[in-house]
Amino acid sequence: MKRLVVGAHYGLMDWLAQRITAIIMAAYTVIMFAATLGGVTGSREVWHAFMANGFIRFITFLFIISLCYHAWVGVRDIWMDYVKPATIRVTLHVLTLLALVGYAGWAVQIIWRLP
Amino acid sequence: MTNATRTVQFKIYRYDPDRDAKPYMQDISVELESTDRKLLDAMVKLKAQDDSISFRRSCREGVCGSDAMNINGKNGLACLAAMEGFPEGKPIVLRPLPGLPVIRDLIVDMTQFFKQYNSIKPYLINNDPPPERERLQSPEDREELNGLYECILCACCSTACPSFWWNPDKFVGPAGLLAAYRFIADTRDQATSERLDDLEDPYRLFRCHTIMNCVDVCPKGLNPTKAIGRSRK
Amino acid sequence: MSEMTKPRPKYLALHEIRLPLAGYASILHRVSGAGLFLMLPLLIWLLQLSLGSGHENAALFSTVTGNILVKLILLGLLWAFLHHFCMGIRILLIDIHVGVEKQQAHTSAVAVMVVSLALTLIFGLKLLGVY
Repeated sequence: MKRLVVGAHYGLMDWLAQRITAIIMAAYTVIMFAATLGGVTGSREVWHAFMANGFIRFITFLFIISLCYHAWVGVRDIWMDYVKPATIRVTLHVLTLLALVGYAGWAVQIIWRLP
Repeated sequence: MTNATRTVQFKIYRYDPDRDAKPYMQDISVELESTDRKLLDAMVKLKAQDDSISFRRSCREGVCGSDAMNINGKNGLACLAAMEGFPEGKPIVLRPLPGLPVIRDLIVDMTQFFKQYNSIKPYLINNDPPPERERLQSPEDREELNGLYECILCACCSTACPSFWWNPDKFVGPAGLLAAYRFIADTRDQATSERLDDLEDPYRLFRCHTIMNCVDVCPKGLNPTKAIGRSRK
Repeated sequence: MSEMTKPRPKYLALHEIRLPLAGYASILHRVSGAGLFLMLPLLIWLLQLSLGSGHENAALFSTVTGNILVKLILLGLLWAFLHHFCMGIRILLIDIHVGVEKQQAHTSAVAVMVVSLALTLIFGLKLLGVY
């Protein structure tokens, strides 16, 4: 008989991380949507000045990191639910992780490069 | 009360492993009297008409949880489903509980479901020598178990849960988690930390994504989502 | 059942199983999340173009966002984001035991659908440059 191994102890940690990153992103979303209504996307100059602001840059950085962690937990959950063969699942996990780390680096350097 | 008869149409999921290569839907109608008030009464009449139709039943009053099935697309107990609640002129569609192996017609193999229930150790763990009479609780402590102990293990909730559909072998499921919290919340139980530890796996407790289909279908009006939320605390 | 002689079918025809509205809202939460993840490269690329200096970036940005197909994708992503956002708030509230009862869960699912569509309309018009 095949024994089933469960007992990994990262369930709570991931669950909490998903919530914390969600709260960070929600707060950022409210700020950004309000700013959009306030007209920061009116012209390129205004938009650049807005995004180059130290505080906005800081919270954008937080947002990017939160997004990638949040997406990691969420996408991994999708693979865990629908993909049964372990080798394919692990491969997908790794690809997801690599993609997200790459995206995070790419996005962060975009905002960090701003004058 | 008049005893006027009326005809009710049914569409029933049929599968006999000895005869059928694949399950199929059977159209069948039955004459009902006004005294046939619940779906289970109608099904007993159906069975009298065609005794090859198989389903589980026992107490016929929502206590044993045997006659859980998928009724017009939603899980429920046949004995609690009032005939007058069904739209007239439309056949009543009966299928087995989703996601469990079908043994025959509306009877599913509940092994996986009970395995998950067993995995949470559904019994009081207390290493103190038992007192002469029962282990007492204050009325307030006992109050904590309301909405938890009433579960009849009919499996309506777990088989309505997508997380259980995809991982019935790893995810404890709403029924099991409700039972787990029933013992976590019990002041007489001494294994609280072990119980919580055991649920820590990302598959066991954290596969619950708060979809809340379980709460929607529970024939006893219980709320596994609430119990799961409390366990996470 | 180990002694079963024949592999048994499972009934799991998803289109026939009736879910509560909260169930569909939940499926959309997953679908929107997956869609956003898949489209992340596009979004980051647009961010890069929008923040890049020089005329090439500005010109490419307007060409790309001027494309009707891209506009539709962005509109879809806007809805996906807003649905995911509203549903996320609903789940966070349920986590802290707010709205965990059956009726409340239904009402909040309706609210998520309505509010996310309304917000999509408001910001969608902005996206399409109506105001």
